[in-house]
Amino acid sequence: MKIMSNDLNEYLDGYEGLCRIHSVFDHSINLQTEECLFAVFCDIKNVAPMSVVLDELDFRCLKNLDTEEIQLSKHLLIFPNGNIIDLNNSVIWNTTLRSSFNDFKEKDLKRTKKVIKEMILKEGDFQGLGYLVHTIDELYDPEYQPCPEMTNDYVDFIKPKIIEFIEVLSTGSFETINQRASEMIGLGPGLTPSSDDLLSGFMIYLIYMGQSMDLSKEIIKQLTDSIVKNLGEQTNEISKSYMIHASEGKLNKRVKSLMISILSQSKGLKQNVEEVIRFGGTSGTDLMVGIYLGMNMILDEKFKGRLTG
Amino acid sequence: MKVFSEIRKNAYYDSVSLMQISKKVEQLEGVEKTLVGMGTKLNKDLASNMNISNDALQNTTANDMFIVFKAVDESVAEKAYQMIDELLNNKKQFASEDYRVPTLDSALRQSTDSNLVLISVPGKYAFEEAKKALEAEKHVMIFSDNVSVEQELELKKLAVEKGLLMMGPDCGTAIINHKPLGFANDVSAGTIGIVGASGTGTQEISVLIDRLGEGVSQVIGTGGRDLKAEIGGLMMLQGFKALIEDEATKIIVLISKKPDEKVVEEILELSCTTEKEVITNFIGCNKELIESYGVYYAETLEETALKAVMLTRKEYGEITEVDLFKELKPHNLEIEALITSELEGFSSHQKNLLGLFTGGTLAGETVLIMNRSLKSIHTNMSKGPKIDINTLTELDHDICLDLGEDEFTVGRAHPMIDPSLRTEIIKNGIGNNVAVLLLDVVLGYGSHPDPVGEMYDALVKAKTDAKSRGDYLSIICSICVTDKDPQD
Repeated sequence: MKIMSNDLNEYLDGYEGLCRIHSVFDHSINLQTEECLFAVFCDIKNVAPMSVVLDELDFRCLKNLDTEEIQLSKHLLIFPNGNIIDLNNSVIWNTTLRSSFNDFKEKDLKRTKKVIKEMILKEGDFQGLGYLVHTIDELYDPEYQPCPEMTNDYVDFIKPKIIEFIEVLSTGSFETINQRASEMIGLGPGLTPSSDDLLSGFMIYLIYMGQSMDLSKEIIKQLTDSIVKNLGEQTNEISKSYMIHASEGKLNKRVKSLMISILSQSKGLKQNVEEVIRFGGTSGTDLMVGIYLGMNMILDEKFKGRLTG
Repeated sequence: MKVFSEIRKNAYYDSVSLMQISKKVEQLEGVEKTLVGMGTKLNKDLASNMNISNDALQNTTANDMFIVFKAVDESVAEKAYQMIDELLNNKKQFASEDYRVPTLDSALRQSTDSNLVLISVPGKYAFEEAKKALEAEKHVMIFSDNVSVEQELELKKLAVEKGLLMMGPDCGTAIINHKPLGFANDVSAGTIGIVGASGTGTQEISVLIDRLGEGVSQVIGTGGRDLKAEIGGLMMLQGFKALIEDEATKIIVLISKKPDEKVVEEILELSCTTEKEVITNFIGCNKELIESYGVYYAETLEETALKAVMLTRKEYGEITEVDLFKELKPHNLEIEALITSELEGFSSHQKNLLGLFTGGTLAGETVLIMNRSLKSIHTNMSKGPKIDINTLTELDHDICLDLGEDEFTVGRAHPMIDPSLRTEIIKNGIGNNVAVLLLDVVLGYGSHPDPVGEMYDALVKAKTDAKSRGDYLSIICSICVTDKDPQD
């Protein structure tokens, strides 16, 4: 069974031309057209925005291909040797959450926030920006106890920048938000820099929690747009496309399950947080820190006030 | 200490590998500090801040990978370079040799830390493979059918002896440690454990639990014959024991098609050894007998799921004993209004019901419920005259078919994978006397990617044909799905 994200399906409807193999990993391949990057996976668990999941045989054929360019026409991947991978009749996977989860109470949010913090501290990978959880607590938790040893070079470096970013989120112009976000993008180890993952988590949480709490969609949209505006050379192509997806509320499967459990208050929360944390090197933890930042900020009257328009 | 760097232009490596390489380099004697990542402006600024930057690093772009480190001298740096090169190349080699093992033997040799083997081969080969796996101390799930009762008993006895699970044969579904196996839905994780001797019934309960906002800890399938006298419920008992011991499981659901009474009693006796709440959905079983063991009785799949959810909430202190099961009272005004409006269209000769199911338990439960009000419903699920699907249009009685029964799956896949037989039946005409057509759609892993799309045109045609005759065809469809399932 082939599975394709709805955004890729829409894109391929109108696309005919060459695509280039951009990068190859054990379990994913990135293909690049003139306009965008899309991913090919062989495990359904990885399905994400602008991606398609192939069965293992097709995936291996693509991976072992001895060429950099493939013809793409009418949902067919046509190899130079004439072999074809037919993406028609793929099951379409929606990258956004269609259900609405209303009736959200502040106490539910606080309880979820507590669980998420516990899970980050217990299961997280702290080689990226995981320790920023303490910085966030320092800003928002009146009972915060300092933990000076809980840091690393990345955290020390970005801490003043993230504090400035948080400040402008509540009161600054969208232009200032863009400037502050730009100063954070592209920091950290791994393929997708940690700060990019953190900002992605923050945007995703804001979009969906904003919907559930009936906050202004327009303001949230302006805010997320200003975070990803002019990404330019600040980060690499792969991370850039992930951030843009996040700013549009597009989710990968793991994050989608997580958001469902956060918004529906279901008992699978811990399991889903764990699934996200396990993903990538530090990416999952960094994304969770972004969500944790969003949770704290949305409880902050000043920030919430801005989002109510 | 001097700064050294390894730059790979336009190269992408996954984060996990990069972090591992960085750690290994840092562990080398004579290496002090490493930094790894993509050459973004901020990473380069950080490197400068940490005094481990050089010109090569400063000339990278955001699409270049870098590893930069401080080493005491050139010879240590050379060792580090060699190590980086080896690790990156090994990874490449590993990736290109990534392959699917061709036999169980090679899988057992290669993957010594796995503890479960899923067997889906033609039935006649399943026994040998399962035995091999059990002897290698692995739990087993046999998806295949056509394994004899004698072989099933031998395998299950071996599993019990070794303290293992032997799910199946013909075990359609399981979710073990949140990994769906066979036909299964993407169900939230939670505290309700299920042992099921009926595939779609187990799926339906897990889906309803998810829809009601709770989740499952484990879903253990046993195969449909497990609670027959010949097998003695060996795997239901084994699975039940496992859930009693499982800390993540707070509530236990047991489900089976019509079981043997003695086997049921043995299972109920086991329930006396645990304080966990137990709910059973044993079709055709005596309610008083079950309740006499302090076990909750549920007649339908929906009732089972609702009771499990209510008991979970009671466990969490969210509802009290007094409110337990309050929500189970019928609240069907909307459904009644629908029935009234549907009834208006029927002609007087339309008095029959036709059920065409892909899920056996869903079909079975339909018959059970319909038998309360319909005198004789003809079905292929019990002994009786064979129903010929080619003459359905001529028959003048209520019919409910499980299209997953062996008679319909010879030479074709199970209808949950290939529902085309049902489409053909509908397309060929279902008879002018049929007033209500009952259907099911079971989605999730393993199922057809679009079963509704598959039969949609045929349904439209059936409706249009009825209308052109001055009749009305009412179609009712049960859908087994969670909002996280791949068919989305």
